[in-house]
Amino acid sequence: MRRGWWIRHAGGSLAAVLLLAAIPLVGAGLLGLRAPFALGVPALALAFFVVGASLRVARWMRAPVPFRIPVTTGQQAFLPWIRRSRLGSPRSALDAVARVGVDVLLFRPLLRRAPTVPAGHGELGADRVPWLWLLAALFHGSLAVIALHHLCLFVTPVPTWLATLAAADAWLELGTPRLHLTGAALLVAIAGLLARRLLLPRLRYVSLAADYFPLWLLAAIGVTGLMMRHFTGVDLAAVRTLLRTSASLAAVVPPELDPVFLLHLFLVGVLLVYFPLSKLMHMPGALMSPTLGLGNTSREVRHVNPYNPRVEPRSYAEYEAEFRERMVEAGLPVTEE
Amino acid sequence: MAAPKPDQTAYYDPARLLRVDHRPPAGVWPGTPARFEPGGYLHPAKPKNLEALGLPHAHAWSPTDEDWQLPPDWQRIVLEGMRARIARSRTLQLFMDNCVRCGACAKRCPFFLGSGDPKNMPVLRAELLRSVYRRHFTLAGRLMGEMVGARELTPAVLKEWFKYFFQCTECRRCAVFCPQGIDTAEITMLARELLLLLGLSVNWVLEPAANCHRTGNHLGIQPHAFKDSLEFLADELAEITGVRVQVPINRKGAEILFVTPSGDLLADPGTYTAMGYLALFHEIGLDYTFSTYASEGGNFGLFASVELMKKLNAKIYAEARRLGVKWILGGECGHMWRVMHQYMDTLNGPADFLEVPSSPVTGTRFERARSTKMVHIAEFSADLLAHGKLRLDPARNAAVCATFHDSCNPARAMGLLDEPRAVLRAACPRFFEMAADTIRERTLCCGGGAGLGADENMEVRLRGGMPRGREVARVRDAHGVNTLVTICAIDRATLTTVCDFWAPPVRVAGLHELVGNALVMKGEKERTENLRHEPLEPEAGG
Repeated sequence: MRRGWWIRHAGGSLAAVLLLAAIPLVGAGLLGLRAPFALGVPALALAFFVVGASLRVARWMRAPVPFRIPVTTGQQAFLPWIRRSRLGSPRSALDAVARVGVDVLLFRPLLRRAPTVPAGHGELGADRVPWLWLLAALFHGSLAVIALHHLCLFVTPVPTWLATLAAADAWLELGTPRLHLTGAALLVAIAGLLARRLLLPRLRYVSLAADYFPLWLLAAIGVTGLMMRHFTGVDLAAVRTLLRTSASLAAVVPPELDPVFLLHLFLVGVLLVYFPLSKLMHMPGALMSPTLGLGNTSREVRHVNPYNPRVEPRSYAEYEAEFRERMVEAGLPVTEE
Repeated sequence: MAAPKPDQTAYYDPARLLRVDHRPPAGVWPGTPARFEPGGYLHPAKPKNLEALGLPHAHAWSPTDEDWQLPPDWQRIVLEGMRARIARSRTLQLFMDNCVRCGACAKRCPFFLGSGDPKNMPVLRAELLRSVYRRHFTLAGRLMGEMVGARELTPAVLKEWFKYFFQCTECRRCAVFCPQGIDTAEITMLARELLLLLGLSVNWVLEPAANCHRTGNHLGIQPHAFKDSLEFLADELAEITGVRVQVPINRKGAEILFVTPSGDLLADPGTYTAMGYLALFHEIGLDYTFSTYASEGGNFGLFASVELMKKLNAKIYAEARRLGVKWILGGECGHMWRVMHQYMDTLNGPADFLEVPSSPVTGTRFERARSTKMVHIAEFSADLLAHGKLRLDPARNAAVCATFHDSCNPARAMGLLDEPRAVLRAACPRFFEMAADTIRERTLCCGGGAGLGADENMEVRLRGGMPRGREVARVRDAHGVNTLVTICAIDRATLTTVCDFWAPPVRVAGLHELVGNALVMKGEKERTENLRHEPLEPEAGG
């Protein structure tokens, strides 16, 4: 049973990605349905993503935050002579934005150490190397840079900063065209994240297909991207033509578009559809987290909850009525003599 | 001598508890039923306590029963309760939707560290609830079932909730390590509210809550007895210091209402802290009053439902208004300050009939409490000390070698970290910090907060307190620490058990107990005893 769980979840999600990959290979490759895969599917996926993600974010925004409950990770500002922590106990909106930036975008919580060795749990690790932080930074960072590289396909001429970014990313000057380090880094990070899930027993115990699937999917997207750039080649002019005309009624599907490109495009479409339905929404969601994004000003500014329950305490009058005799005997002041 | 029982520490062998296996058991977690073993669960709430609080479905049951006597439409009640609560809270929606199960929280939970039970990993504790949310409220969960971690709500799931959401002290340590700030305390609070809708709660929470509703405090002390307790402490203080202090109670027109957990008035070692307050207030001539109607700072409603928290908390402002005080001073307590700092103003404010707190002694205006109008005693005393308004003789604490345990709520809900340390340093000559990853925002758990402080779940408490206890033992051996200082009444009870078991003979003291020892009072006699009636001589035999 123990083995069954991870085979179902890790294996099932891998099979799902492979099955999905077969769709464009069969549809566009064997059946020749190039236009639906070059235009129709990506357009629908993009629309689904925009609408789905917006609806989810809108649902979050509509719901009130019932209480101001920041998790404080540093000294509060209370007495002027005690140095306070701006990021651990934000006071102004700027502090709070900085905290969300550092905590969410730079994954600061993953850098916090808490070695379990002194507590007698050495087998759980000494936290010497922040592995999860390294993998998270590598994974998200390379994804962000790779996304930026793709802007080159949409804008001509390519702006200087994008060209500089691409050059910097290729500083090792390996291969022709030059290998983008982020491309390799993404695959390394994905391998690392998968290895964590599969090798750490306690993480394997909680990991779901929903956790493996996006990793397999991004791996497939990354591999097809690298294949085009370095092995099978891709007609960039044709891709630009497709992208440039895709928004118009006179869309052109150049015959030079090769099957690997259509596969890559399809898998990105799958990612776009999967995004709003899944934990991938943590991308906008983490930025909205009330425990990180609210200032520690709970005693300074009243926070209003529109759904504050209507509840009354036992009244003083009722209390005194029950205990009046004893209060009088004990010499405690009472309201009614 | 009778053999020790599972509700006594003597029943447990530290060496056995230390052999924790952190590898998950065979099988899959959704199919592993919760088991209830002696020492591992809390007694259910008695029907009379549910009835006293007007809560539904009061009935007699036991966690070990096969049938928990649920109302016929229990599934509808839970799902409707879940839907309504999540719909009204962005916080819960984000915490339900966004966890990526990265596992950063797993080995941060003191209960997982101490038990090795995978359902004590915060990620999995939350999944116990999220799985039901997904199945019933998300498209992916309805379509994909187990693949996205969705499962049906069954009586077995309820049993799991009861077990594991009462093995969480809502200490929020996991949230500090979560890259998204997901706060398991919120999830535990939701799960406990849903269980409460079916009449399922624990007596250790609801009996104090029912007491507090009726008598004004958790212990159920009636007004005359409350006065007796305080006067007993004043007598003790007079015997030790030679100074007779007045104990104002229910006095209209006082400047300040003082609210503190009732436990500190009745049970050692909290009583010594309470004596410290009385000495301090007398010495600075504070114009204050206790209240019998609002004689509880703590709030066990926090551990049951928002409604119950509000019901109990509302007495504080109501009493401040009735007595006509200007502002409220709060004693040393952990979860009390979670409520006062993060919930009270929203629940029962605005307190526009009070004034912005300001120290009558130093003139400091506490602007940062200008809306809630409530100041923490550590803040107040630190301000007194900074202005040189207290004469402390730390030599009177020379026998104390202290370390400071940051209580979870003041640390992670307030950021109250350096104020108590400033007071402690002024009052006590020897003070050693525990390891950096076990204090301040990363502080460990006492093992018995949030309604877990009973005896029948002793094994759970000793395991949850194991990481803290082991670290106390380390500073005991490294520095000769003999006293764990803390600013929480629950800590004073639960960490006493933890230290007795894991780090004897370290004992637990409140911050203002040490202040009371060191405080030089006008007209005092020569002090020969501390507030515990122990001789002041520095070292044993010295």
